[in-house]
Amino acid sequence: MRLFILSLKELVANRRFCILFILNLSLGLAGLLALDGFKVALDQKVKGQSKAVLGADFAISARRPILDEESRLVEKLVQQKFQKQEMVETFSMVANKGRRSRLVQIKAVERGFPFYGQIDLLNYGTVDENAFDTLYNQNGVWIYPELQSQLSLSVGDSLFIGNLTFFVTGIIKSDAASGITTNMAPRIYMSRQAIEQTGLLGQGSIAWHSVIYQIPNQSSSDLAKLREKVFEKITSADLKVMTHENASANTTLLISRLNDFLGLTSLVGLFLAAVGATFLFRSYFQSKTRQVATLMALGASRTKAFTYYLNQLAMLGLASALLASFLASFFVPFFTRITQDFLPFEVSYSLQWPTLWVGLLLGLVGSVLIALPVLVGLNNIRPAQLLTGDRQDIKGFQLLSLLASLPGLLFFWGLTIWFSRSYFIGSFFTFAILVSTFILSIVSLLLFHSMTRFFKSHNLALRWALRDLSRNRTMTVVCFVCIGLGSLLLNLIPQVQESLSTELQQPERSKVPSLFLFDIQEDQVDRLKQIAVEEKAQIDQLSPTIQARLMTVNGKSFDKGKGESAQFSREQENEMRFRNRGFNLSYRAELSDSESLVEGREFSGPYSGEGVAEISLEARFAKRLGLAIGDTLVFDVEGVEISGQVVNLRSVRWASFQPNFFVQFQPGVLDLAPKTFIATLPPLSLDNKLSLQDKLVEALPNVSMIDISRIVEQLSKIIEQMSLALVLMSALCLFAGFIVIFTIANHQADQRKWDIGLLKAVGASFPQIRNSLVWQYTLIGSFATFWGGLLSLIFSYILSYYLFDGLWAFNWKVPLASFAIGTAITYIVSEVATRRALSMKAKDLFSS
Amino acid sequence: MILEANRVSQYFTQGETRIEALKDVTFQIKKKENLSIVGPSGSGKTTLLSLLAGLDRPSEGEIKINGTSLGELSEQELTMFRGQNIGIVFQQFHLMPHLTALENVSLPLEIAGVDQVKERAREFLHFVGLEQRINHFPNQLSGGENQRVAIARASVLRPQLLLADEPSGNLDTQTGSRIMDLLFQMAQDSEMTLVLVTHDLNLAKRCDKELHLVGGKVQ
Repeated sequence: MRLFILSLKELVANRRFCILFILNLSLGLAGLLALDGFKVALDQKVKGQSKAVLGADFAISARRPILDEESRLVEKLVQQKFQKQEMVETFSMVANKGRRSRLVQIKAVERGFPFYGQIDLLNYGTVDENAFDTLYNQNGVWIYPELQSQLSLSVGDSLFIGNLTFFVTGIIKSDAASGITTNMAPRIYMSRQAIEQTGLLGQGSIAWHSVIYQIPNQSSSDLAKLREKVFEKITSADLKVMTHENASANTTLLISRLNDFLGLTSLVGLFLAAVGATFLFRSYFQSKTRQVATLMALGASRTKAFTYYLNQLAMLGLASALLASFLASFFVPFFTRITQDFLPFEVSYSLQWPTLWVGLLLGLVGSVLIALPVLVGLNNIRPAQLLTGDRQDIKGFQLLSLLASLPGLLFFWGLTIWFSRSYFIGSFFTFAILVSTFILSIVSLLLFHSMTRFFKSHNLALRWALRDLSRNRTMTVVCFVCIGLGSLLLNLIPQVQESLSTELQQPERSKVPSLFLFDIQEDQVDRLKQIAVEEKAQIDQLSPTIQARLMTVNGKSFDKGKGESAQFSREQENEMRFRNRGFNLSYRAELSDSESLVEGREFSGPYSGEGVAEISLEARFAKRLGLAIGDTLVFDVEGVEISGQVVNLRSVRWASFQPNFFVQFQPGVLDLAPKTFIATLPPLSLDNKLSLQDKLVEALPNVSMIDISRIVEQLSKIIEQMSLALVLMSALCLFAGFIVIFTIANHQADQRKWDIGLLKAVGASFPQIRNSLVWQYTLIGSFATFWGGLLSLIFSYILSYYLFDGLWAFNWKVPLASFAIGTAITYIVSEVATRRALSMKAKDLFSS
Repeated sequence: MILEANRVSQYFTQGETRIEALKDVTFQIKKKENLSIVGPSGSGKTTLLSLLAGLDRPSEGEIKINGTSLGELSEQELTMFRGQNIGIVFQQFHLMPHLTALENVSLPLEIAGVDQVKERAREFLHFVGLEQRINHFPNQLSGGENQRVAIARASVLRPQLLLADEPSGNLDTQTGSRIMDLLFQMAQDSEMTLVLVTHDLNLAKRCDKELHLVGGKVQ
């Protein structure tokens, strides 16, 4: 206890250091805690709303009708009273009286839907049994207000869907089961029996069939166990089994991915703060070495001295965490605003205990790990040196210090994996941060060393500044890395966004089509071509689609995985998603413009009927499922087994919006299988496109059409908003970098106040001294933002090379702005930070 | 007269109490003369030295160096005047830790904007016997060597006035004695007027004049 009080007293006596340390660390933690707070609130909201999102406790679904044996299996395993309903979801075109058409999401439900939550109609109120009469007896549909405005509909108006005419009997005011996809295509509700008659569920049509269950008095873990059991027993890999919690987690998938990347970005802030805090603690500890030696001379053991400083670090860490939590509450409204479009519901935020615990843990553990490499310097302190007057030096490279920094690095690595929920992304991110830190450190050392050596300025302040920068290496490197990394991050996101936007909006290269058509039945192909000719358009890439299930790989049953609840990482989750799905097969003789061969050989030509059929796989798909060239795959196509051998892997540019498939057979294998077609139409004028769309809806009502320009617009909007969120988080990191600069400049100037006094004593003018200090930090700021920007270009080029097939677009405005603003801010920060120390009076040198 | 102090007084206020650090101090020194200022702790020696160096301004009275009244100079003029006319040696050396011996001695020359900075700094380091240590940093030098660098730095512009505050106070007797010899030698060779603050009465006697301060007043 006495040791604790002594530690506390010393901290109180060193208030300036404490304030700077806490300011530093708390800013690094604040972004992370704000994000964690948001995640906790989101998680609670999702859990609280999950039954309403699914409308049930439990569900099974597939892109085909659910087999009786499958639903019977679930019912057998439930072992208690339950209720069930069937539901079908699909996309379709709908047209109003004037034949204006739109793509909608249809949800065909039975009476009494949903088991949980409710649907409110503007013209009726909460949906009840009577409301369902309008669906079942009056051929009614309930529509989302977006469709009402798009097609100028009112209650009572007719609406053409597939082969039937429906009537609008309700406008939806609120829907507990709304999802993010309703942004792309507004939803309409119809009766389960009506959809059967629309003709939309023809052979091979894209529709999701579900059986949903209400199983009263079952906890989340009971349902999770039931899910595992069902998953184990069910043989089909394409059947999805979900509890209400899985279903609602899917609705927040996009925000969840965004959170992963925001988490990583905020970790950079923590990293910078940690670097700054280490520097501060190092300076502080160095100034205390004589005191430690004195304590030892008075009988304190090294362990006691170690504990003494650990106490201080724990106190500083806790104070930082508390301040960070306070600051975090100010950042949260921004998360709420930025994410509202990605969520089907509003998330109200308040900082809760789990987040506070995370903060306290990070503050406590983080501050100790930060200081560990410095604290091992205690080993070098010898009380005997007090007598000889030798310096108690803790400087210099030491193996022990290096080893002591490993726990901190491992902790950081663990955090990146935890936040990204990906071993690969987390490790890559840590590696990238370390490499960038190394590059920036080397650059700063070489740059200022060579400038001092070769650049002879007449400006004395500049000369001194350069000399100080090359001599005070630790300070220079720390400041340079902090600003450089912040600038790198701030620049990288807009650069990647630029490439992505260019990829999405570059018609001359991608030949982005105007309309994407799907669910075209075989007997509709000729009519489709005829309409296209009448409208002077040409059908591009008419591709057959055959639904199938993968049965075996190299003679072994295809492993459907262990169920999603067992997944931690994004990689496992993705693999699971790929395994647990039906396959759309196609056939094509040659590669399309948006495909290129990565490995293997092209098809030998049409299948002759002899030997093994040839298969081409998309490279990333193959990698996720562990498939390779030479593997033999057997598919079940409508009860017929079709086998083939993988002969090549190809890459696909999905952003081309051309029909592309993960699995393609050579022609001649699947030609007779029941199929539908997907097709694209080339770029058309707006009038031409609308006219063609309306004619197609009239003639081929079951064919769905996606307006690519709307999709691009929606995607661009999402990318823009996600980028904005990431840019803002990066700005927070850069701000943390500037705080590091401020604290270091302030601390350094304070430590060098005797030098400043001395310069005054030997005749240096105030402007000379001030300019020398300001030059130092401004040089760091300008060169670090420049190099950070440059590295961001290199990284964005590498990312573009791997993610967007080398389509790299240079956004010159952001690096230029960050360079100018970064330099200006560093100038101001250094001016403010050094002001106090500059007031040091030379006469005080006499009494020191 | 190279240095004149006329009825110089310095007051500080602490709360409502006025403390008289110096009271009516008057003295004069001719060029090439040496003056020692002696007195017990708290007698006002350091305060007087700060005023003579132009690092502080007196509450009352006037200080003239080579005919220039320090009180008439602006802060900027005073800084320039000090750089060119006054050299200061501190008890704690106060060398810049990140600069080599040569760079420390070069500082006043760089500030004054003179030519051949390195050559002149080297010459002075040679004079103080540190020609072999010019590229060493202060933490690589002994206390005595550091003080030699400080003396070279104070003298390198050949100021008319060299002020020294207990220059041997932080050194052992033998080293201190050598440093003092060097300081007197430097003052003599460069025709500088030395003003030395010391506790050591024997050392004080080596100067041409002695000023005894007690309670801020000349005895």
